[in-house]
Amino acid sequence: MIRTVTIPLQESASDMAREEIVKQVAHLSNSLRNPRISADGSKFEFDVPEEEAEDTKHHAQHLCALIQRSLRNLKRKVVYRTRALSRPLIRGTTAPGEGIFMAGRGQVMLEGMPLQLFRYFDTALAGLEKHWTTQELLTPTLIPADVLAKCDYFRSFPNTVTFACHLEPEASVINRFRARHEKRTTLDREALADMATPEACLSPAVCYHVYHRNQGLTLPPEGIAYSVRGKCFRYESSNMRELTRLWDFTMRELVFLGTSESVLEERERCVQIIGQFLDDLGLAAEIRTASDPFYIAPDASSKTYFQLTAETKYELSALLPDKERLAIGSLNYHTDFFGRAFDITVEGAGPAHSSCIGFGLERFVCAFLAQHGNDPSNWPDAVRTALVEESLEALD
Amino acid sequence: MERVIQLISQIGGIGSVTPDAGIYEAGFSSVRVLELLLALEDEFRVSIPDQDFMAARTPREIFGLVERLQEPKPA
Repeated sequence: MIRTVTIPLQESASDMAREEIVKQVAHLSNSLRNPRISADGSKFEFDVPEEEAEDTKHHAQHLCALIQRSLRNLKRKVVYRTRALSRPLIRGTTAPGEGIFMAGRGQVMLEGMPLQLFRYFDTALAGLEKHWTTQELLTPTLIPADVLAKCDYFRSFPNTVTFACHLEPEASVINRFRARHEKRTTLDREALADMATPEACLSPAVCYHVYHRNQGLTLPPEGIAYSVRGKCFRYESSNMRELTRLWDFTMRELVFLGTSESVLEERERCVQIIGQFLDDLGLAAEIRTASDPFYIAPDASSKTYFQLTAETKYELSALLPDKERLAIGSLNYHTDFFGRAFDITVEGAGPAHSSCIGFGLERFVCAFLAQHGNDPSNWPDAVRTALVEESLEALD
Repeated sequence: MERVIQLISQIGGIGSVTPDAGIYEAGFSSVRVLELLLALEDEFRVSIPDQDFMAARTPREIFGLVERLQEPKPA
């Protein structure tokens, strides 16, 4: 039996608090559904199985108080608004259409036109990197657990980690596992006990590899820029749906390591270059301050507060149907956190500072189709032309 | 001023800082700023604007901000 839980909020929830509460509550329970905040912002409601209701309510109350406390009366700062945002036109949906096949929770296969769009965005975003002299880095999908620990991931985002498991490499364990699964189509309850402690995880971001690669190095005074693209994995619990929030997705990143001044300067350049790109795509979007969804821990609210007030994170927020929004990328400044964690220094300037500009390729496809629809005749010329040329090349 | 320095040291888990030392340079972690802000608001019964707080980098600047906010406003 499903029960609707209602939580009165301490004060009317601001726009930011609304978004954060709905986004973060998903991590309280896998069976929590339909989180919503009343139009006047005075109460938060969700649906959950009766037996979980009291426990989830208790945690949700704590979460709401924490988020409202950390966001205080902060307002988002918008650093770029696209032209289309002043008169947004939503022609499509976020529902998976032709060429988008959901293979499992948070897992997608693309073919046909959505795949062409995916390739277009990958190429076009890589093209934006011509403004810098970048070094390419081919990265593994796995990331050593100790590298992720250095990135503070197990403290800040333990809820989203995907561990790479394998059986204990012992014949007795493997034989037992094999015998138990001879006729099963799913893993049994004992399977987890057969696994070795994971030494690696599936990487949640590609920029972490860059810091690992530069561990212990001294960089030239002018710093260094990397171009990276790879698969990323974030377990988003009941938030996972359609192309908007995948477990397994593709990220393209531009990573800068250098002095504080240089990496911040590059990030500001990126705001203008990416803003222009969003305008060329005719997307209704804005680049605005944002925070990461830190796991509910004692210092989470303080981290959120710091990110928003110090403007260390901007997100590319695109409009979706029903006034929803989707972050299709972000521009992050990490201060010298990774420089210190990985002992990376800049010649004559101390620990390296870093910034990274990340794009979620499947989310670009999603936002584009949601706004422009499936009919290419409604698309911007640049995209349509590029896709026609690609089709012709494929025929040659 | 003494109490401001005490709060910075306690919350930041750092030794005593001088009035004109940058608190972040002295080791105060940025992830503790909200804690410090809320403690100052409780202690001095003021409401501190976020951007003003982030701009104050030393105990003296923080104390000055709190003092200004405590001054009675003209009717």
